[in-house]
Amino acid sequence: MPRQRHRIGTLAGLSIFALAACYAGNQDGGGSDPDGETDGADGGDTDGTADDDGVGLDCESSVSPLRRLSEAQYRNTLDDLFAPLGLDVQAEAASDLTRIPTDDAGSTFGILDARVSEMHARAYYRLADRLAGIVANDPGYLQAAAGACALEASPTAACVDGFLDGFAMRIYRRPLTGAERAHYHDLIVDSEGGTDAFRTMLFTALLSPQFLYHVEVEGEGDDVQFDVGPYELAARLSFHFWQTMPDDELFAAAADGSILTEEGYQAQLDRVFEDPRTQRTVDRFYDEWLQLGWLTVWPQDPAFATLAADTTIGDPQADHLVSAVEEIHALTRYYTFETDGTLADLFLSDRNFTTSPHLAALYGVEPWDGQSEPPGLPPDERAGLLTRMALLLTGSHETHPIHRGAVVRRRILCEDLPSPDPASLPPGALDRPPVTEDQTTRERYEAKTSEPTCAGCHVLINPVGFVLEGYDALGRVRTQEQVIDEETGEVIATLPVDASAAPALAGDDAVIRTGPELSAQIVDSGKAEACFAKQYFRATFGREETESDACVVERLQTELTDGGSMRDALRAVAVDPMFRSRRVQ
Amino acid sequence: MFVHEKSRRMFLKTAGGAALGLPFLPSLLPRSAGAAGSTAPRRLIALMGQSGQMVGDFWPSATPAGYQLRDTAYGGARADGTTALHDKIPGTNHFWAPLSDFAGQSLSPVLGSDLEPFYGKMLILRGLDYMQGTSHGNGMMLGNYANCSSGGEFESRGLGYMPTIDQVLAYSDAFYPSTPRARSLVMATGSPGSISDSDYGIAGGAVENVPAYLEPLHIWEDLFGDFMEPGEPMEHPNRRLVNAVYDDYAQLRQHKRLSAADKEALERHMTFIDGIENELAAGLSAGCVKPDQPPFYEMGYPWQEVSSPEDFEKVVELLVDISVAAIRCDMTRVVTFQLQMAITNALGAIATSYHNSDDVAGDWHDFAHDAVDDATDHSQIVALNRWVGLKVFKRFLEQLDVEEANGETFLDNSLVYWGSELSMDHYVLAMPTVLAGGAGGCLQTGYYVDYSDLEGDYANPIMPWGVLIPGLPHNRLLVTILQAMGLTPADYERGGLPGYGHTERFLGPYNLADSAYDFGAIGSPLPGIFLG
Repeated sequence: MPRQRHRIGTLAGLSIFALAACYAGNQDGGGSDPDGETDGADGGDTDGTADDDGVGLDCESSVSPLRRLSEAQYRNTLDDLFAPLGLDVQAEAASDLTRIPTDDAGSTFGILDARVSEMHARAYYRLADRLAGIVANDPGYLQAAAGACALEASPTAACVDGFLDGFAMRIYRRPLTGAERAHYHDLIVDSEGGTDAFRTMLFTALLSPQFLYHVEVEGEGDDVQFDVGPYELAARLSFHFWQTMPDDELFAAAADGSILTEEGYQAQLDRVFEDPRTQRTVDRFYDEWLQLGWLTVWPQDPAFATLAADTTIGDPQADHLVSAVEEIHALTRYYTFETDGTLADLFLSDRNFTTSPHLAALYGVEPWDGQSEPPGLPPDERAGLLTRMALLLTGSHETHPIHRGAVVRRRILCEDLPSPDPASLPPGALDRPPVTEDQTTRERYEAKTSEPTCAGCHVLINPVGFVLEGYDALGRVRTQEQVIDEETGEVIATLPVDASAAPALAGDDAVIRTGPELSAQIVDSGKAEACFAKQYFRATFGREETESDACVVERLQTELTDGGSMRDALRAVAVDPMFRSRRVQ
Repeated sequence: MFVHEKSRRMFLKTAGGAALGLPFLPSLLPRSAGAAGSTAPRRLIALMGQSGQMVGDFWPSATPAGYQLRDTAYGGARADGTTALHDKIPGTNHFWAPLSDFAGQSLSPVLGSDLEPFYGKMLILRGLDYMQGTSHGNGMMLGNYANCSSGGEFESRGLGYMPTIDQVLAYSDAFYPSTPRARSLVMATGSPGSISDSDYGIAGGAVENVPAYLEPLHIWEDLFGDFMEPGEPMEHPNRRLVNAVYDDYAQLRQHKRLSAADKEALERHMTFIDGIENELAAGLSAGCVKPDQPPFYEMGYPWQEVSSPEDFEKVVELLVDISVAAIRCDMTRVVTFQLQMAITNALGAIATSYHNSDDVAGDWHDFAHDAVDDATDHSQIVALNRWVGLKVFKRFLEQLDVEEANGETFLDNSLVYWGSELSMDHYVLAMPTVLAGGAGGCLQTGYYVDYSDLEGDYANPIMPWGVLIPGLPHNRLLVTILQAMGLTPADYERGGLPGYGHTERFLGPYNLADSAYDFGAIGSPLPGIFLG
């Protein structure tokens, strides 16, 4: 596939990266162009975006460092690799799977954790040892992996080659080179008979960098930047959208080279995107972006019991916390995969997506049947993600307007609000304000954050959270707040809720009072698209965006800003030529 | 065969600056790298309790004959209900007292009298201050003072993260003249985050938190599962294959289409492969006792999956016991243990408590913050710390205090360091510090030492949380430990600066100005306790 040049114009007021960064991209790209092409003379404006301001981004490639498979990718790949043998990795290697270090990047996407530690190496070793042993010692598994010939006392060279061309190719995610094949033939010379020869090869292959890392060194181009090879492209598609290894069709498209043709690539992209595994990846994106599911155990204290007294929420026999997350998945899937929904739909939808009778009761509606058109919610009470239980839960009997406000500002709008450094605050500054019978939660937090050292950020955070005071700690709409004694669970006062505030997210200082009005401001702010683009890039590419990634992030943003569907936007990142190339540094 | 050991060892020497790949033969390990005292190998065991605590509950408050409280001795802002000491370390203004003076009494609500059998081998150190105005940070007690809130500021000032001293030791030729079976055992409860940060011996490499073992079975498998019985030297069959895997990485590393950073990542991975291969080498020392294989407790992350407090407590016991078995077999000389979850019995039944950074009501973090105003939370934080002292610290001492050779116990040749993340709330003054073991005769043990500057004018009047008075930079404890483990300044000092650990200040309400400290001695061991 000939290398394509692609330029995209910057969007006034929405540019993600500094102008200087865009120019730097141009210079770098031009300087390393092995074809002698010059920026601006390529005519490769494949998306038709006008470069009318004379400022463009070089969209040829971005720097993609060598990365190990993420924790999820490694787990998924093991499952998919051994599933055709009938081997359930989760069941057969349960203890060893818990060795895999958790990808932990703080409060952001786990995939950003690029550490390679001794514990990773040990986990890989133990799992390779375990799985190779299981396969080699079970005739059924071994035959499925290498054919009946593998059961012979002395497997022939042809039998070994069959394994290398088949199962080992799936481990390497590409055919083995001649040197690699010779390497395995050498390696089994000292093995102890037939099955041990296959254990030897399987064990070694499962520890190889070709399996554990996203190795991309093939393809046309020079040693600085190049179009990735067909198998590497197949792996890019599968790991990007599925978080796992390529399937047989992707391998076939790589083998016959069709994946390198525009038509063949688009066909694979369409198929991969429509696969349910893409939905799984997108679900995980929302889980981590919005920190869904962080609450896994209902509070057991008397105060929470009082809050939930007239609901079935908190019943330990019913996993309503899972239902709350499933509602978000249903909403986002509906507007991404089942309809041509937009980002605005995610924030403005007034339909009910919960199939849980317990959650539906909190919303004052009947549960959705999960099949028909999602029914509406009570008018003017809820709109979009922000007003659903999963985002309103606090894990306590009382609301937390600061947390709610910070989620909107930081996660949904990507505003750079630093976390308060406890070292710069007086003792107790971060403690919850004490409950009093004559103050609402809002009033307590207003007093708590009114100090000049706090007000700089809280003038931004608080109004957002205060509008959401119209929902209690379970996510129910409310006009009055029950002030509950933490120790006894006794209701000591009932006070009117003031949910009026002026968050000014969309540039005006209009006073609003409801969740739907707040959601509308988020959409009107023009910041949500840029933020979503950044967050989605990080979650799927597994790295913080750099200058060289500006094009793909901006393409995604452009799709969203122009009212494009979520479906097209999420596909757009793989349509970009950058997706099919690699710059080494 | 794809085994090219010679070139490979040379590569590691170049990449890591340390001899990582020599064949392992325990009998060849030297008895001592130290400058004085016993010739036995030294070991460092470090454990950390989480969050802040009521330090008034920690420091000795007993008043045996001849002692009185600071309330009586000083009054005023120094009246914090703790014991006033009357003897000075010769030649200094610092006070100390033999712990034997406190025999028969409860030292304090946290320390109780449980540790009395070890008083002669212990040091309780008061008045050691982190130099950073700080927040939570797991690596601080071992010298990586960049923490969760100052990390960005560290980097913006061009201050690199530093490996914790356990990892300095783990990759030091002076500490491990020959490659050990495991350079360190890094353990934790509740979450795999550890108190160890490492560059894995690669000079200039990124410093990263070392993921910890949570599951006793996994340590057992790695160190004892492939145990070759003494007298039957045979190589694990996987060793040859792991060597071939190493070469696979080495070959890829030569590829022209990899960046320098890509190659560094592969080099790091190769270091770990080399370590595994070393573990598969033949033979263990005679007398090494293989512990029983523990069951699989499923102590994975997230922490909520702990099946019961009883199981959790058993897991902690096993982690201690197996790591000590590894020390006694000289498989490793470095153990760190992050206790992010512990047991409290404050409400009459044992229960686990996790240190949740999300500030979830009823967890360790919440107890620490609310202890000042809430008697129940106060009792919880005392109970949690007391459990760490009794069930973890003391268990290490008991397991190590058996004869190694020549009448010396493993504890005599080790240093067990019980430290803390914070002192009170987010304060970093008077860090709770308890040591045990003589480090092969390098430490003067048996004392409660108070490095606080009681004659200065720095009393911090934040009652009722206690009184915080500046003492000595905690950096000097790091120097003490490093030298007690046999290292010289040339082995650990960096950037031409004396001592270990950054001293740049990030001042806030939780620490004190430069004028409170003498930085001239920052590279020297603590006075009074270091015998050299």
